[in-house]
Amino acid sequence: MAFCFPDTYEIGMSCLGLRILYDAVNRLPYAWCERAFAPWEDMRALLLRKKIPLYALESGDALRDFDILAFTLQTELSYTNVLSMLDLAGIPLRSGERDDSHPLVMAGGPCAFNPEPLADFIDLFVIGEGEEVIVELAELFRRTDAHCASAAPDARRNLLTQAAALPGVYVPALHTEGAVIQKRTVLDLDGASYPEKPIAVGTEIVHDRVMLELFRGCARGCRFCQAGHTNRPVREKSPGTLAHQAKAAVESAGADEIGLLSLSTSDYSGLEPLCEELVSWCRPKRVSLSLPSLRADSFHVGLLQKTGRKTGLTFAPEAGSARLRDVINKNLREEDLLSACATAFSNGWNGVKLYFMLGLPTETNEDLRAIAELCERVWRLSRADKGRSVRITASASCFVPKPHTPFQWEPMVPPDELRRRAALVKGAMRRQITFHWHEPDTAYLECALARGDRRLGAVVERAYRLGCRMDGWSECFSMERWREAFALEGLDPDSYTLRRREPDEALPWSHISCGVSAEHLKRERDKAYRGETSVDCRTGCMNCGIENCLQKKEGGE
Amino acid sequence: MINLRLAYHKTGRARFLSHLDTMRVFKQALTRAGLPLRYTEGFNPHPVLSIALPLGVGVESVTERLDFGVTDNISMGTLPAKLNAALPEGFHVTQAVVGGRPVSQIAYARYEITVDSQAAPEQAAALFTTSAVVQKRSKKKDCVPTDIVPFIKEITCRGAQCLTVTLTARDPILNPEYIAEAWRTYLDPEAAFLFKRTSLLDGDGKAFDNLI
Repeated sequence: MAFCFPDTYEIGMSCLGLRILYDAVNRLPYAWCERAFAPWEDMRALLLRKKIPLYALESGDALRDFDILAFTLQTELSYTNVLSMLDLAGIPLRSGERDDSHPLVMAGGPCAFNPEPLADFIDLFVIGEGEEVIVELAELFRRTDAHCASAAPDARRNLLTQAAALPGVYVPALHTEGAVIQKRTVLDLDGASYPEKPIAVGTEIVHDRVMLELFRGCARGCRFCQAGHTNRPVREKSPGTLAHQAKAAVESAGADEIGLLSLSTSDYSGLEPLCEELVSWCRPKRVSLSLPSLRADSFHVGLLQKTGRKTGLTFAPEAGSARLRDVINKNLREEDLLSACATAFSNGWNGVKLYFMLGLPTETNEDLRAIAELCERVWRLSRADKGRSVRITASASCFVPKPHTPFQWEPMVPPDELRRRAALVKGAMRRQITFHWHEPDTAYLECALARGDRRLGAVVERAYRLGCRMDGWSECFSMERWREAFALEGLDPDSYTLRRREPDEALPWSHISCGVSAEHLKRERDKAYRGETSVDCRTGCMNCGIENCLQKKEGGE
Repeated sequence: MINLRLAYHKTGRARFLSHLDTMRVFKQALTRAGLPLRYTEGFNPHPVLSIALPLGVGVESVTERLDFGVTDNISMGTLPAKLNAALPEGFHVTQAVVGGRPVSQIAYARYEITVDSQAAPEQAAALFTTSAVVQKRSKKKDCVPTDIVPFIKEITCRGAQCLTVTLTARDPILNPEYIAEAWRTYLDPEAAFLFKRTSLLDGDGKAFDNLI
């Protein structure tokens, strides 16, 4: 099997999912897993010129000689890279054009929650968490002998039929109308496979540290957040397991940093004792500990202080006004943010970054000005000590309504309007505060692909043929080429992005279930319009419909 | 505090790792081997490591030198084996000693160059004894036309496809890639090259291979 990451090595090797699945397959006595990445343009040109088919890193064997290619879909902007990798490997792009002599092409990851735009190219999707399914699929592959030269003529089809019967597996070619694929969830994370001997990378990568996953899921229910909805329920790893795994991985890899990973680090119930244990173990070894995704409050800044590093401090208020934060259910109080920043400044931090989103549902000019005002209040706090200079950086990304969230029916704000809004914020922002914003065109494309249907397959292929690759990289991205691709396939991208979906409209992803009911999403959407918040799952159950929810059991509701 | 020196090979796929990546690989391996490394004392401490005469990307070597510091006595006899167990494919430590000759005494480096080209090595030998002007990066990073012949101490052909060259390793350091560039400029634009550094020499032309 080759695990294919449709982006560069530096990005791909920073992905914990790759490392977990690689490790899970390589533990099997009868299977092995290698890695393949999308080559950068210079390497791509050389491979083409020298007619070298794309190969896996470990053995150098051509991808087309593998039994299974497993792609991970971390972002919609990597879809053309999936096609590019298949093409470079000399494998026909469309499932229908491949036969038993080609590898089985499968895909999973966050974007598989709407698999339709890639359904023409992928034989089999894994919906949800992959570490158990990938082993089941490897076992199935072994049993059916689909890879043997002497395999029966319909071996591939038999294999797919059996695979489709596994929970969490979606085979587009065999799908029957009306059937719903339920995602896979690993319930016992302490028992789940974790790479205690991580690959020690030889070159600088984006996130170069031992990644320690505290828990999956998130109890917060922010209405814009796809991961918060598709990864339910919350499942924690025990502090004992985490400390053991961290130590083993650091010693095995010779790493100098541990990064705690989750959707909301502060919500981990054993955070303080875990940090204390890790800090006292790490310090003499000169290993540092990083805590991203912390909530903005002074308690957690105090905790950060104990880890001993004063690198960047980042908070994500997401919206400037309390009203809009209520709409998106980001339950962050301005007092807490300000006290967190005050604690940070008085403890020696010299900068803070604030993340916002532009184009959230119901956003007004007043909400936009509130971004600048909030930043200014943080800046004023930093002026308490006149002798120091503190850097405040605010950055804004463009909101993309995503499937499986309460905002999945919302129209996206058009790129030109987003540019106007960014300019408005920029104009209202104090000079002393650095303000960046993301170009809306990539968000626009992301939105079209994220909520796309099967017809977009032709557009993705057309865009690839027109030269679109590495769309997540601003130096490679071209909206003009994508517009041309849409036009040539007779589709209007606005109908995917700017159109409000009707409440009873069949959505392209309605045959995929992450366990959260449509009723819950609709209730949350209506509450958003009324500016009402919903409580955290740990405080009270919102009846989202998820099964096996630990919170619900404990609360006895 | 004790200064140690390693002699090691960097061959095969490891040749594609840059100088900085090689430093990373050793930092990881020394850490994995559990050595009491000496760290810098700055705001952001890191182990004290230095590699003599950084190797270009794509160049193999059987004569690399890495210096590092430890804070405690360690067993020198078992050190190469211990490190080889912790190093990735392509790196092989051959010797470890305490101290070592100052690396500033390295004056020349010798390379074996395997050439795949229409032109014969004899033509190259003739070219490199007269003058060969190539665009050479100067200290300020811009390129200036430079005759590289004065920096070639010795050039010999061995067989149909193999050159042995001895190049200056200080004032200035001549990267063997410039030999390839001159070849492509004057003899054959399609030529392909493989480089391997085989020895280091001092100012008297004597081998620096003796670590002490």
